[in-house]
Amino acid sequence: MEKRGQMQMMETVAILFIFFILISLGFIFYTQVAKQSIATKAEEFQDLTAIQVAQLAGSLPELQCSEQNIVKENCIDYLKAQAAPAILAKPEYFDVLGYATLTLQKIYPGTDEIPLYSRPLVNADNKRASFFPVAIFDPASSTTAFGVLVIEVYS
Amino acid sequence: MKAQIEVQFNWILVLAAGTLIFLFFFGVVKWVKDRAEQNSAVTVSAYLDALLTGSSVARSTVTRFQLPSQTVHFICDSYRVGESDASKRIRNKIVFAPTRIEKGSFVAWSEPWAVPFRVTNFLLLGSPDIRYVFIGDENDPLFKELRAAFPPELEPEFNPSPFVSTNTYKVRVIVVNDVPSLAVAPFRSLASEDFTALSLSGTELDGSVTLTFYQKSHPSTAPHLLGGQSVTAYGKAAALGAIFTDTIEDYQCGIDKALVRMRNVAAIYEQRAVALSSSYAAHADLACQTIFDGNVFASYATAQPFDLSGLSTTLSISNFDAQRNSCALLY
Repeated sequence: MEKRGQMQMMETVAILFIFFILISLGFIFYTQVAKQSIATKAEEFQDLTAIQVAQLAGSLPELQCSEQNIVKENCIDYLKAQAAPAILAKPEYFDVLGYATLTLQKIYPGTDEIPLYSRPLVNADNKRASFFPVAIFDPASSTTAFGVLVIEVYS
Repeated sequence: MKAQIEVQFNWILVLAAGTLIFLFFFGVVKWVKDRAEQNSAVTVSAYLDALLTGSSVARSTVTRFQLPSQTVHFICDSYRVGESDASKRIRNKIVFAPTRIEKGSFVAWSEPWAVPFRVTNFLLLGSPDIRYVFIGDENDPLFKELRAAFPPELEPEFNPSPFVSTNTYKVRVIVVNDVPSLAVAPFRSLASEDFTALSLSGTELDGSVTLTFYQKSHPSTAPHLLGGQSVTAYGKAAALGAIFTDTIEDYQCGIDKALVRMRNVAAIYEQRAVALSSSYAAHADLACQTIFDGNVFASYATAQPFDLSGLSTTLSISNFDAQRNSCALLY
């Protein structure tokens, strides 16, 4: 009689043991799937951030050509671009552009390069570069050059 | 006797194991639910951030979008989605929004702020589920301007009669060139921050206007409007921003950020003016050089909203002079 009781007890413990093993396996599987989906989402968010920085950089009144507040699309004012690095280095612009570098490259006529903003992330896992062809207008000489605005976003 | 004890022991064991298993599952379900809510809040706030950025770079546009089953709470420089503890900073964007927007439709209206050079776009956030009620003289130029400017997507009401509760979760009353003297009693049940009023005094939205913020008394007391703190706003976007903000503190928070940005943009224009002045001096173009030497961009470094009207007029005149003399424009 005592032996039968012990057997029953053992049986219950074994069932519980197997039950918890199955639960743990399910849990491990769930965390693995969750981890993978978090990684995918993180990548998606990084892409979104890169797009946002490019959108913001392209619409900065600190760089854009304008006349009486009428903005010329895809145009950078050369004199504003020369004054911009000192202003864009201020901490408040980190909120706008984050870990990124912005460089204006003049391509024709002649070549020139103005580093507009530089806050690279040390030990970054990713760097997404975008190139935007722009007109570079110099109001002093009323001439327009062709250039590229290079935006590199670090994450 | 022994068999009886054994049967009872078995029942106790089953009960204990059952409770344990029940608690275990209850814990797992709660954990998964919390994680899903947190995940959803993170996803919504990331997409909301992207939507707000997209809306803020576009000029004078009204975008309507849907928020999935989450309430968004706005506090000064940050927002929080749902009941999540983590708030996300608004960062670069200058947002004017009520303290909360409940799930459903969301309207983002971007309006450029110019003083008179363009500084940035203000992002005005509202919802058609919030009641915007304008009260004033129909022939008042400011009232007419507001009527024309306010987006129909927000379903504004102009001088509704009778002014009764329609069970919206928030009511914003805008009184134009008058002191609010409303019958607040029908809105007794609304919380103080959910029934607010703004008095707008001035002649045109593009100039200087005086804004006075009011709030309904606590629901437990006799309903009346409290407050009356005033500020000066300059520019259409700044005046409209006040319509979308419940409290003077949140409004001031947005304006302070805008003033910092304005000073930076003015500093760039100032250096540009110096470079252009040197260029005109080198070409012995005295007329243009004088215009650029006399620019007032430096005065923006310490300017407050009440200074902006005078500065804007001076700068507009100089810009007109530059145009008349065929010089490059100041802004």
